Amino acid sequence: MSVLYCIPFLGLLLSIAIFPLINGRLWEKIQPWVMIFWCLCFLIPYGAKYGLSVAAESTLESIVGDYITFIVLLFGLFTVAGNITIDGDLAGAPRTNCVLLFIGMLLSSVIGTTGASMLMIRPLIKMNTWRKNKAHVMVFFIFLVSNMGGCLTPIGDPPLLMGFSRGINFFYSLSFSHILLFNAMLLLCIFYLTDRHFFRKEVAEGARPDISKPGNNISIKGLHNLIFIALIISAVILSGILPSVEPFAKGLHIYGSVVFTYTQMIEIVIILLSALGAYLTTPAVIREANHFTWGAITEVAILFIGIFITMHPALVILRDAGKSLKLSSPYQMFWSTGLLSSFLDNTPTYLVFLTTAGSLGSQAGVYTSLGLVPAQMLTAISCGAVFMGANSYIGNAPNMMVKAISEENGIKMPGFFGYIFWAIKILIPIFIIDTFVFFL
Amino acid sequence: MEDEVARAIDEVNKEKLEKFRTETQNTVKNLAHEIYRLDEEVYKQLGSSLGRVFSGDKKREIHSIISALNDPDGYKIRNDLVLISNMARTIKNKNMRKSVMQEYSQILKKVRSLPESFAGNDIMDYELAGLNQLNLKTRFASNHTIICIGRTYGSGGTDIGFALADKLHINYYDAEVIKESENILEALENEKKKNFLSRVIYDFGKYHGLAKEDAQFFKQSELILEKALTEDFVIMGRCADKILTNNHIPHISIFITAPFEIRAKRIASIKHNISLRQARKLLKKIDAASKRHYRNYTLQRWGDIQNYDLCINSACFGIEGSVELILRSMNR
Repeated sequence: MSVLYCIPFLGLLLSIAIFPLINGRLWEKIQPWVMIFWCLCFLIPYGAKYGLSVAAESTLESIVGDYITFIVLLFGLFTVAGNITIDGDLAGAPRTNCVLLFIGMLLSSVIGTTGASMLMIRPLIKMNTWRKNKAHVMVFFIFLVSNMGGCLTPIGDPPLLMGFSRGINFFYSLSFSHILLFNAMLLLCIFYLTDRHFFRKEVAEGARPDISKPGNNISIKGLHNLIFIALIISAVILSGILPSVEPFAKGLHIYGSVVFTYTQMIEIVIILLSALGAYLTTPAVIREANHFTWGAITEVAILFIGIFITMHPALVILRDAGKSLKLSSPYQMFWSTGLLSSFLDNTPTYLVFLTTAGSLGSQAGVYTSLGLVPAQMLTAISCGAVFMGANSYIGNAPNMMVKAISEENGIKMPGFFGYIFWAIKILIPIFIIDTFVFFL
Repeated sequence: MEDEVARAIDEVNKEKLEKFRTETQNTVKNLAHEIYRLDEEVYKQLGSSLGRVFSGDKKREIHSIISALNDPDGYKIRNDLVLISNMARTIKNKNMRKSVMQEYSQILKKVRSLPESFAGNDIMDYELAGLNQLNLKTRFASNHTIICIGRTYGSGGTDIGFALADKLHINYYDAEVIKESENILEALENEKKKNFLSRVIYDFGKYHGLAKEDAQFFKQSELILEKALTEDFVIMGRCADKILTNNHIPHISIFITAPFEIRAKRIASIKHNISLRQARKLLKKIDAASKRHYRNYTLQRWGDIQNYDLCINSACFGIEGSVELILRSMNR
């Protein structure tokens, strides 16, 4: 497939980056039309060249195969987490923010990066209400909670779940702990210094938190919704296990080779029921206290349908070129998987490179259904896919959600390029250090 | 003759400029109140404290809006208004949303119609001058007399402050403020926790997650501001000058110092058990701590003459003389 088919994807990314800068209000209104425009820019020439049925199959594959489960999971966790509110007088300051980021990071591997992001973002925003400069807190939240923290278990991030379904031991990713801790330590140090700089500035300007009541009573309302979060996580784990069980590998035939599998259906039903359960069993006052609206999820749903459809040619090219890339060392795998995961869906990217590593014919390493993969190579691919999802807003699903929720709650977040600039300034140097320490 | 005409024209222009400046400042003030009210209304309609743009103390927030409106670049106020409108658009009730958005549009129009800059060329910073009780126009008009004294160790600043409070028959605060804030913060201290982990968690929550010195500073700020509303007083250190400036409360800020060697000799003579060398060491240590503390909470240089209304070399006047000088400055 020609690289030219990737132009609509690039156009879409540029639209996301530039339109909000020109006119934010107009962008909100025309978002769906811009998505349709770029999708058609890809589908019309693609249909003309390969035939309408191929174009239809490609679109349905993107929507049924990837998008629906992606957005339903996001929707489910967004809804359930929006029904949990944490009250208390903790004041957002460098120390408290560091502690919350660290807890969120650990939680990411237990309930997934999306789950942890949705659960922790509102308490973090609430704690920092008194602060003027909050965008950097959210940026580091994306780095640590929405991405890196998910590297320790297959529940953490979808690529690792894909690895688990390809035969990698469930607890294998725990062996990345030292890398996560090393990165977290560096990031938290940088965060602490950055936050302290802004904190001191704000205090000098006279801002101060409300600490009128002695002590601190932290209370969590809507705690029963943790059951629904557990249900959603079990649905995610099932989606990794069931495809290998005979009856669940099959499904409803949609068109051509597109099949809506029973596994997907089970996952979707469990998630939607959990979301509905959370919504119906939680008093509306809790959602009001959380300033819960459908705005953020709607925006993400619109943007990502366009991204999933137009990203298709880039993934096909990557899949075809995977073996010919001749990548043979861990650092090459780390950077290739990482840089592509920064802008493409990190799950198929991870799979392409795992397949490449499995086909190298290694005599020793970690067993996968794709062949033996040297341990350091697997670590590099996994860390690349998970860590570098933080390089852009579209690198991982929760990134855009965190941005949308923050903006809805009065935080002026950096634009598309502004965020990438933060990543270049802070993450890339850390990844270079990682390369020397772990992957060379 | 021509000179007289030119002078008369200058006078008229000056008057016009002054009138224009006053009018614009009134417009800006009203507009700041409108913006604050709009944010308050949006927050009330949404029923959530999340996302409020102006979440701090009303008076301070209105001053910050006025500063933002006075900024010829206008970048900050534009950003704040965008954030308010983003929040307003999420109001569920359609009619309410419409009415709030209409109000927002009107405010936006008014902001756009403001002249880009209406600052004059006088060196006087009107805002700063308004806070200075030594200023002849506003001296003790309706506020309490608050005197903030910063001093280097050994300069006699504490004695001067105490004598001044005595002469003016007003309260004097020093370590008292700290004691009071500590009493509140340590209210739950008696409830001792046995194991290490629960102790760590307890300590973390006790100061609302803040470092102890930060919590102490915030509590002290609160107390100083409370006292400023109800009484006249002299306060030593505690960054009180900056706290009051930030909260637009008129006060007099004074810095008292003396040459290092003189201070060292004084300390050595007061504290009989230490040598001159030890006194020098002590001075350096205490001055460095004061400097660090002031820098930490104000981002200004401690003892920098630009930050004070009056700076006194107590070695030139002595304690009584310094008190006399301050009282004469205050026309007392």
